[in-house]
Amino acid sequence: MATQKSKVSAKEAWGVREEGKDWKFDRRMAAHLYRRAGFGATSEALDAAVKMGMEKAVKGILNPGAGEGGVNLGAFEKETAELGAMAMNTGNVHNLGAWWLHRMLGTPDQLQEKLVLFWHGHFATSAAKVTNIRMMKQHDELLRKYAKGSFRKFVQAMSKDPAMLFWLDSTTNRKIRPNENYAREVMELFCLGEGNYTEKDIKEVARAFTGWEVRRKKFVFNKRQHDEGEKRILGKVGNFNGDDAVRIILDQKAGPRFIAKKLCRYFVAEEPELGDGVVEGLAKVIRKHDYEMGPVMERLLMSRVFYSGMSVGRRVKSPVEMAVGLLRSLRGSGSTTELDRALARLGQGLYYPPNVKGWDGGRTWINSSTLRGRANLVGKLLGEKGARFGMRRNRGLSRVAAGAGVDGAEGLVRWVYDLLLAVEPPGDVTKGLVKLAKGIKDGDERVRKVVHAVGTLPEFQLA
Amino acid sequence: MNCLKVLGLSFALVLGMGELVRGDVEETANKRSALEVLPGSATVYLEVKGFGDLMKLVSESELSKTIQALPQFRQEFNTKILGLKFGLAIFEQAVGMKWDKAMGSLTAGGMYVTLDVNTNVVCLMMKADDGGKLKKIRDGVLAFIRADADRKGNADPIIEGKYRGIKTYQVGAMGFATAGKWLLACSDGDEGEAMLDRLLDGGKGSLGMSKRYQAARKMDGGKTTMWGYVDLEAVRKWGKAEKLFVGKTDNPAAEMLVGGIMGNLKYAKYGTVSLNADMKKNKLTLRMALPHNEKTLKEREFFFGAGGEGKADEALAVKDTAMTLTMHRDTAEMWLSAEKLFDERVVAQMTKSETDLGIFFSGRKFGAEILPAMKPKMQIVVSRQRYKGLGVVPAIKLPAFALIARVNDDAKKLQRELEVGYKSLMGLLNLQAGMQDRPQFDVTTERVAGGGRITTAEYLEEGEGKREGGEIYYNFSPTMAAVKDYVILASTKELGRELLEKVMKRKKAAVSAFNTEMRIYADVAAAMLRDNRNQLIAQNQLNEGQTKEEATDEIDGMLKVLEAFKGAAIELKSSKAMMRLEVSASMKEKKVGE
Repeated sequence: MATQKSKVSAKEAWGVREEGKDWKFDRRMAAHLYRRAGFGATSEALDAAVKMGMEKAVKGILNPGAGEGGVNLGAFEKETAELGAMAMNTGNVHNLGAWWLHRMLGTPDQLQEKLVLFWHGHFATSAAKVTNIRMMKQHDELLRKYAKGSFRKFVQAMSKDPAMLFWLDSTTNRKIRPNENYAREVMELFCLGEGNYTEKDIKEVARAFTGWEVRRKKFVFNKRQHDEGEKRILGKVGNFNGDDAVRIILDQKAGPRFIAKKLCRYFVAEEPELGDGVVEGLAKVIRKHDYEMGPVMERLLMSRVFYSGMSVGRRVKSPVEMAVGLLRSLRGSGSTTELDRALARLGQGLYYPPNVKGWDGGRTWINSSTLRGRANLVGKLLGEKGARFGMRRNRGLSRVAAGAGVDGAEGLVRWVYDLLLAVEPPGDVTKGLVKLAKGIKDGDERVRKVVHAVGTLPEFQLA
Repeated sequence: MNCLKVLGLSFALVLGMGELVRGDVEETANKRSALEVLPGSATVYLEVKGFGDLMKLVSESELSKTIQALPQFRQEFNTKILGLKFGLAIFEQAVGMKWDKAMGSLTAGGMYVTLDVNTNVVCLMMKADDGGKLKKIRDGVLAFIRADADRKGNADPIIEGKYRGIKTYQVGAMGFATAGKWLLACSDGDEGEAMLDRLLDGGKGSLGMSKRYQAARKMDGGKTTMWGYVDLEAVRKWGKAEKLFVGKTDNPAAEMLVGGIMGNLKYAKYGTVSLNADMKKNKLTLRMALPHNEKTLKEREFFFGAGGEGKADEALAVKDTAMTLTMHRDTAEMWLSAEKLFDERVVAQMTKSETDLGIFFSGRKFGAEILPAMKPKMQIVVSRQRYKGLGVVPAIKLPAFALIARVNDDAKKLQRELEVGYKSLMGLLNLQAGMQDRPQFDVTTERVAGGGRITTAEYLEEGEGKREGGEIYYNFSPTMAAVKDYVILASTKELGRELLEKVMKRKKAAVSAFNTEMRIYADVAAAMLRDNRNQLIAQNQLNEGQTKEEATDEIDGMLKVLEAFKGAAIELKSSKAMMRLEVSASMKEKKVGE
């Protein structure tokens, strides 16, 4: 594996990474890009990315349907929309989770799904309380609509989302008793972070949201219940409503910094986290584009810091990233209903975040129980009845490997490393894996055993 | 050439190799029946008399052709059965005839197998239509096994011997001989010799002489394609499959459906199983018979009725009925016998529910006061919904179902009390729906001719006009109807009303010949699934991880298979002496011109 520059200064962090003597966009870097901007890539996709170069690869990820060679997103969207409607008909939110996993496994627009997952953790709303599947689906559609778009519009829309309002007990917000729950979370968890507002601001923002209600699963503005009085929010004075409150909150200097920090932690590095100086660099980009996420993600995914040692292997894969990544990299599929249940057991039930703060992520994903559970899940994904690799009519793992030109035991181990590992394990582990591969005659079984063994390594947990 | 060896050995196992050298011995052998020769110590016995018919029904029926035409079957068949096809081709070459013809010829006089579960000894007899053909096949397979061993540099795997002038062969643990039209095989040398003794000398110690076997044959003999006997006492002592013989299910619903059978398996000394392929009717019937005994009849009186003579009412059916189930079950008796039938956990739950259910019955005890007022008759009807006149048609179309019970003649007041309880329950559901922002039920009661009443809970619909793709709960309009001595609880108004009309037209409840009778109407069942085809495809995609194309193939294939059936039935007959369970499936006949 090529060595990457381990440290990048705050000043140069967000500049575009250029190929040169000290850095090359190789298969390892392409795999890093796909793991972070999506859930991983097949061997063929990695080769294609290397061939086209980093900038083109990132642009392809940002706009997979655009330009020459762009994929047909319409057909995929049509089929999954039908599938989503069918899942919704069952009234069971777990089927919605299975549907989302189906999307993640098959989508040509990985970044979209990754961002939806990110925003799902950010605007964490759980079906444990919002049991109505239509409200949760509506919430999901909101996440999809704004995932790559304007965060300003996103927060405005989220403030009127029935599922969110129900989740935060804001279905009735009356002027004689304003509900402070949403007012607090919109500043603390969604836009600014602690320390950037006062208790008085919470009360005033709550007043601005009075009259915002949910009736029959739809948002309504109840003019009679809206407090028309003057409010003082974060230093601004006026007869503000909820939209004004969101605008004022997002105008704060702390807003872009807060979002930048969350993006850095999710897409660049969890441990150690990037320093304040580096984060501020991305915050400037957010300010420059007025919270438009497309250009922000482009800058992030092309940046020096993203391809540096400060980023590669500096995150712990969430259960969803781990499982979907494994399957996507190997052209695999299987029962997403089962997978949804398994992920919930590992702590990441889709549409069931643990609380309003979402998933903590990082090291909290890993403990002795979940580590064993992850290894078992890898085994199950590779070996269970119905598991299929090669997408059409179970072609088998050995054919997927052969299709990628894998040759010999060493070649197989290298191939698996490229697809699944951000950090290479020690040499004796590699030797052991090669020995394991040499000892198994059956092609499918050999690939399965090697992938399973890699799936139990500590390095496999890192992204 | 591993598969060749396996093939050779397999056919050697089936055929056996050997010969009787004396013509009079052959004549004696041909006159013997398998029951005179097979060991009396057998705990399991199976005879197949219409092997050809069975093969024909399995391979040539419309159902079989439908299955064979499915893409997923073809794929599995092509990949997994290639080795077998190759093996069969070699076998056919060795014996000089097609495998199915060879098997038909070898088993023309029947195939008979015994197993002793205590010693694991397996014995087999087959009667061919012609001794000459049997020898030809034997010689072909012998030569094939030897040639295969020779190619691999292995020693001759066949050990030849002689017993009382009959040539014997041994391959692995299995010993074989042929005599006249008979092939004999046994996994134990001593038992094999004893079989040859009985073949030559007569039936002392044979299965046919076993009193228990004779009793079983007398209980439920009949001419069937396959017939089997099990010495249940010996199998119970054997100690395996313990769960089958505990006599309990610990699940009230399962107890209600099959508790009597489980109870019988606990005590019955023997049982019989048969399978019949009726070529004319395109029907397969599996039958199980067990003798009753006093303990079972006492413990499961709620199930079999007094003296085992309890009979169900004749089934009620409506238009588009998919399934009917009618049973004789004394639920009050079952409730009172709970401690004997269920474990502590279930008993505790039943005690709790007795108290909880009291709120719907003016505080009266459900088990002690409500159930005893019911006749021991119960029916369940499942039908396809038509959604006539409904404003909202749900996206997922569930079947309608109804429970039909009858109250004792002196307890008609109970019908009104049940109606009050039903209304209380609807009120409770309305409160819950209100809290969850869901539409609520409009509960109305209507008097009908004959003194009957029908109470319906229908959803208040939002907006005007018809809406497709509604929520799943629009499948329900819970209905309770009462007329004569009947109480009908239906999941929909439509089904409740149809059943009510059927009951009103009935002059007197007709008694069926069965203790339990279940009928499934395949066309309606398939139509119900077709109503949800797109939903099933989507669910398959999520559950199995298949592409839409694959899921569509699978669901359409399943529907085609279902549509190849005419129907299925489960019938349980009971008398003081025995119970007989019959499970049958009828397939559609080939349409003229196809």
